[in-house]
Amino acid sequence: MIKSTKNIERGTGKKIVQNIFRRTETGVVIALILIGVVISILSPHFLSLSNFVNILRQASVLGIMTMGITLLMISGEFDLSIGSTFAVAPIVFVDLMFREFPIGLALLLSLLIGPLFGFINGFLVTRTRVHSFIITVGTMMIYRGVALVISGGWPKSLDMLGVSDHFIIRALGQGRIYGFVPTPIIWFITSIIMCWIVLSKTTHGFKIFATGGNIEAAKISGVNTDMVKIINFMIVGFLAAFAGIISLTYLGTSSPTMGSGYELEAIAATVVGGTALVGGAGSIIGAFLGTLILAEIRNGLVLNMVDVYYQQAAMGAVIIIAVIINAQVFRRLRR
Amino acid sequence: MEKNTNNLLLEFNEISKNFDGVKALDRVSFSIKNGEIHGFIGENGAGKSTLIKICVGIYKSDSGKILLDGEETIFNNPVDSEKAGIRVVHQDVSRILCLNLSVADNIFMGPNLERRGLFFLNRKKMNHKANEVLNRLGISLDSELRVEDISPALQQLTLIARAFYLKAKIIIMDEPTTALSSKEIDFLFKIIKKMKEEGTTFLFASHKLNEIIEISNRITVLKNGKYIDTVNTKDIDIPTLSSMMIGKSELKKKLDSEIKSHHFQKANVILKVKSLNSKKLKLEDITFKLFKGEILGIAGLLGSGRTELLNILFGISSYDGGNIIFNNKIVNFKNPRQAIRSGIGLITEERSMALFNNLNLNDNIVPVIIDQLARWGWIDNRKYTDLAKKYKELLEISAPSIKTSISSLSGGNQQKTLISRWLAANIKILLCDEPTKGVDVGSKMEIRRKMLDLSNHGVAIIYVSSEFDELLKISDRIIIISRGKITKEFTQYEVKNLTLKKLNDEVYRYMAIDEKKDEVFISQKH
Repeated sequence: MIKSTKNIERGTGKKIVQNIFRRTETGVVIALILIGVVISILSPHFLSLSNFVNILRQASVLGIMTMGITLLMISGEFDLSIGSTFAVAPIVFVDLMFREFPIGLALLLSLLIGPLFGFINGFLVTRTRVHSFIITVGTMMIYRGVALVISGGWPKSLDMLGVSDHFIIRALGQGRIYGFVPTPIIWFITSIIMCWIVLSKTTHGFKIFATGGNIEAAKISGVNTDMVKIINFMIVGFLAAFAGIISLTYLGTSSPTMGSGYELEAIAATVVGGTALVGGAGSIIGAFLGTLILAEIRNGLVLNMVDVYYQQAAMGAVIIIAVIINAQVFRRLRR
Repeated sequence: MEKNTNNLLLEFNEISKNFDGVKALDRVSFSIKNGEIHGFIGENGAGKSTLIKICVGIYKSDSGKILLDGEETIFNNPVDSEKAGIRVVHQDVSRILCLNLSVADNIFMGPNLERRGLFFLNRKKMNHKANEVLNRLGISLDSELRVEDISPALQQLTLIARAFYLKAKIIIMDEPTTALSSKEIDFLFKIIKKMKEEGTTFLFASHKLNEIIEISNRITVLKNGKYIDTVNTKDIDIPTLSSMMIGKSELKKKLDSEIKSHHFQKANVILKVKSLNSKKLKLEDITFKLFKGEILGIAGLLGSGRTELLNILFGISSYDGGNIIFNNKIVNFKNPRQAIRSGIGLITEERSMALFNNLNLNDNIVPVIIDQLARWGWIDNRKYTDLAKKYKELLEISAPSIKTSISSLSGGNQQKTLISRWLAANIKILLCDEPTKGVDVGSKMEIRRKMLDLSNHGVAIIYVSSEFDELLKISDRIIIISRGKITKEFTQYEVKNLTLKKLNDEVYRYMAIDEKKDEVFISQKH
């Protein structure tokens, strides 16, 4: 129904090929493959099933947040506070367990932090009409402060609580399906499917495109654009909290500084995947591919034993290259 | 076609262009003589804009040649064509002018800025030079004013002054008069004629036939991407041009018979507006009634308060005093959502305000009723597609499919899409703000027919238009709004015997009282 790219029609033969090339995602796939080819030439370890599972696993945590950010950015807003929300949820989770809350209840309450923080962001943005960029820079600092205050500035580990082997913890981050596929990947895929459904099958998805495409027109058509944005902020918040808890259960420790910088990486992944910075266009599949590109690059840098100090810079360079490849491919093929 | 080859400035030779298999231009050839004003007409979608875009290098033609001064030229982008002396004045000036800078800045922007030393601007000299340029063209405008503070007409003139200063060989005017009042148009024409005498060539694209005939020396007609003919203006009249452009008058006959068969009986009042006031929007004591199934024409000029009134009725703007009684209940809509829920729809003056250019045709039909096409928020794809198809057919929206991008459709088809939105929503009142603005003649008639059809089905329509002959044709009653007040009402009986001249006189009568304020060109602040 709703497509990120314009003018897609069904047809046969040549037309199908043309339509494939018109999709925004095509550029991203080409970038993904090109980067993959370069890495596999440089490192023989790249092309293996276990390495691919590894890449997916590394992409999971950031990817879950990227899905939410994609919805939000298509509706025309940013959220820079997700890195902080990402830290607060696991800290609250651990803290509640220290206070001897049952693990299920602790999980539920800490996950609710996400939508709550999201609601605060959305409420402030829609009421004050200050750009979300600046509002969420503010809440980013506030939420980070919350993380520091609750944790007292110290990292805490699940081992101290003795819950590392609890089935909930295993199901969230520690476990492996058939002893092979790490559970974070399953959660990542689940969040992709859910967000894809929301964006392409529901009225909310339609309203996201409408709001981001032309907010005045959406209002005139009777769309409650404030509500659309607030819901999106809450979805983003929830996914950030969830990703934080996945990260905690996988690593076994929570720390008040975790997740800083993730907000920009999530935005980068979304944009690499073809989401418009001004809103109105984008796709979940593209965002998924964008996340993969980022994970692929990081993996490639590690495999080639690039100095950690250089990695960050190399990462940034490749992000820019990926976006350029995407934009160029897209422009060529559309002409 | 042309025998005198040595006097040709710009020649189009067999230009073709396809978009997604649709022929936008099909081997179009014609030429523009040095120093003439060349009219360029065709319905929206006839290929005018495409040709202009090819001419300045925004698009590449699939085949064909462009000759400038007899030499074949290929422009890869607008910068190339500007260097070669081709300048375009769009309807949408905000895309070319820097609104936050002064008139003088905009005239000299680029390498022509006056500098003092390497880094500092010589503002004084620039303003002085700008005033010289403006004076030479007979435009009395303070060059130090910020462009966003002056009227759209003056913004266009700023662009023209820039083109003049840069010694453009040819200025392409793309529908320049859409946003202008008739007085402003007269003034614009005066300037164009003056520049023509100084040797500038113009290509003047428009679908307002009377303007083309007034201003041009020769006229080229396009229809459905094909070249029809180039004629000398003095040998042609509006009806002939119109039939060349549309090619069929059955539609007109249909419309005329439907206008005759439209009988409206005053019965149920659906909307009553009682002494509505708004200081901010400068509306004073607005009182009128609207009946079920009636088309109420509102005649008024730009800035008379007509758009503001509709905005209040639709819940976009608020008001200070008075009552709005809808279906015998006092209402006060806080936002468009509440108005829509009560059954009111709005066609905005600017299509861009209502279109989702990022979406396809089908998505642009459904936004008002999207919730009704879904269960628990889950969109029923079949209902969605069926509905879109139904309205595409009903309004005869011409597009390859319902999944065609809305931005690739012509203005007329876009407007029909916007109307279909409200048809789908089963509204009781439709507020129309210039629904046929920037729409070709064919679509105009179809849109009017749709309005009549709607009113025959009991929908009440408030029809704002600055094309008074249009109002006369389809309105049951007409009220005139001027400077935020209702100055005159013509009853159903009076409308039947009303002439265009009388309506015109009535509208301008109240304007004449303080004429001086109204001379948009002399008073620079808008």
